[in-house]
Amino acid sequence: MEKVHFFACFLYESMLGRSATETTENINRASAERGASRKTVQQWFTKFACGDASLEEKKVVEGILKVDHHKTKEMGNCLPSLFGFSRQHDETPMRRSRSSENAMSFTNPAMMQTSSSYVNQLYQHNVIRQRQAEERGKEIDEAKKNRIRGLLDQIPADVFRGDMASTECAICMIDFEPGERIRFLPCMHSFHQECVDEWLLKSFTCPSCLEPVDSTILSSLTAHNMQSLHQITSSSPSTSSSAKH
Amino acid sequence: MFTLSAHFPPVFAHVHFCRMASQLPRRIIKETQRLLADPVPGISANPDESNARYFHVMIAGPDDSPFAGGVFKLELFLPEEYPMAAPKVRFMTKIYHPNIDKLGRICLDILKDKWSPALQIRTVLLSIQALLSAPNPEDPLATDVAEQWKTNEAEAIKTAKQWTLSYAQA
Repeated sequence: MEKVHFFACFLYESMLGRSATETTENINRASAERGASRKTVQQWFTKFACGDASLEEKKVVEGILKVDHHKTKEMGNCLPSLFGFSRQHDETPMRRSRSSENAMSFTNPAMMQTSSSYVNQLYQHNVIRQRQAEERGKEIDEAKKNRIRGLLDQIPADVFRGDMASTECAICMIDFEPGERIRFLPCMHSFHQECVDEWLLKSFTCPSCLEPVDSTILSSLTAHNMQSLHQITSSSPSTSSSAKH
Repeated sequence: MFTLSAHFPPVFAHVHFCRMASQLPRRIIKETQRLLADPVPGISANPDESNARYFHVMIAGPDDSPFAGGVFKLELFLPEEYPMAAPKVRFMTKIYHPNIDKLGRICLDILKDKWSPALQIRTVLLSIQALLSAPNPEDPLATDVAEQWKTNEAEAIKTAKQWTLSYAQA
C-alpha cells in the first residue's frame, strides 16, 4: 500500500467516527506490509478535525501546531458531525485491501478501478457527500425563491386600461392589452406582472431605472393607486386570486 | 461608416429569420426586426443563418477614439434565459483596450451584475461603442494595457491606433 492509501484510510475511518486507537488497530489488522502508529493516526485525525480533509502529508505538521493534543480524543467523537456523517457502527467492516502499485487520485474514478475496494468506498462516500451538499444548496435556493414568490402573490397587481400612459412592457416588448395584469413599481414603471415577477425573483430592482424595489412600498403604492383610481372593484382580492393560475 | 444593409440585404435576412422564428421568444423576434429596420449608426448586427440567438456584430471605431477608421467584429449570443440574463458578447477582432482582454472578453457592468431585462441588444451594443470612446483603465480587464494607459497615455493611444490599422481593417 502506498502512503497515500493509508492517509485515505485515516480519513475514511475518521468519517465513520472511529477513534484514533480503533483506526490504528483496524489498519494494522488489515495491512500486512506496514503498520501505522497510533501517534501518526492521531495527528491525521487532528488535521481532519480542523476541517482539512486533504491528503497532503506536509499539511499534517502544520495542522498539529494549531491544535492541543489533549483535545484530540474528544474531537474524535465529534468528527461525524463535522463531516456531516452519522455514526455507522461497524456495519462496514474494515476490508483487507488489495495493494495497488498505481498512484491514485481521489478525483479520478477511472484510476479507482485499479485501486483497492476500500479506497473505492471512500471515493463513493466523497461523491455522496458532494451530492448531498449540492442538493442542500438547490433546496435553499428554491426555498428562497418560493418565499419571494409567496410575497409577490400577496401584493395585488393592477389591471391595464386603455387610457393608461405606457404601452409596451419593457421586458417582453409586447404591448399591454386592456384587462392584462400589470405591476407598477414604486418608481411608477410598469410591466406585465408575469414578466416583472420573474425578474424580481432574481433582483429587487426596477428593470427600467434600477431603483431598488421595496416590497412594502410596492404593496402600499399599488393599494393607493387602486383607491385613487377607483379601481377597487376590478382589482379586489377575490378577482386577483381567481385570476391567478 | 457602413450601414447594416450593405452587409446583409434586409430581404435575405428576413427569409432566414422567419424560418427560425417559431421557437423564438417574441421579444427576440421584435428586437431583431427593429435592429434590421432601424440600425444604430456605426453598428450592424445580423442574426446567424442557422441560429437566431447568435448575432454577427460589426462596430465602427468611434471618430473621437484611437479606434477610428477600424471595423471591429464581435459575436453576440442570447442565452436561453434572455432577457432575464445578459447576452454574451465578445470581440473577435484584436483590440488594444484596457477593458477588453486578449480573448475579446469585455469588462462592462451591464453585461455582468448591472444587467436588467429592460436593456436590449441595441443598448448593449451602444454601451460597447461608448466604451471604445471612453476606455476606463481604473476598472481594467487587460491589466498590462490598463497600466500602460495610466502611466503613458500617449504611448497607449499610439499602440491602440497601430493595432486598429493592423487588425481592424474591414
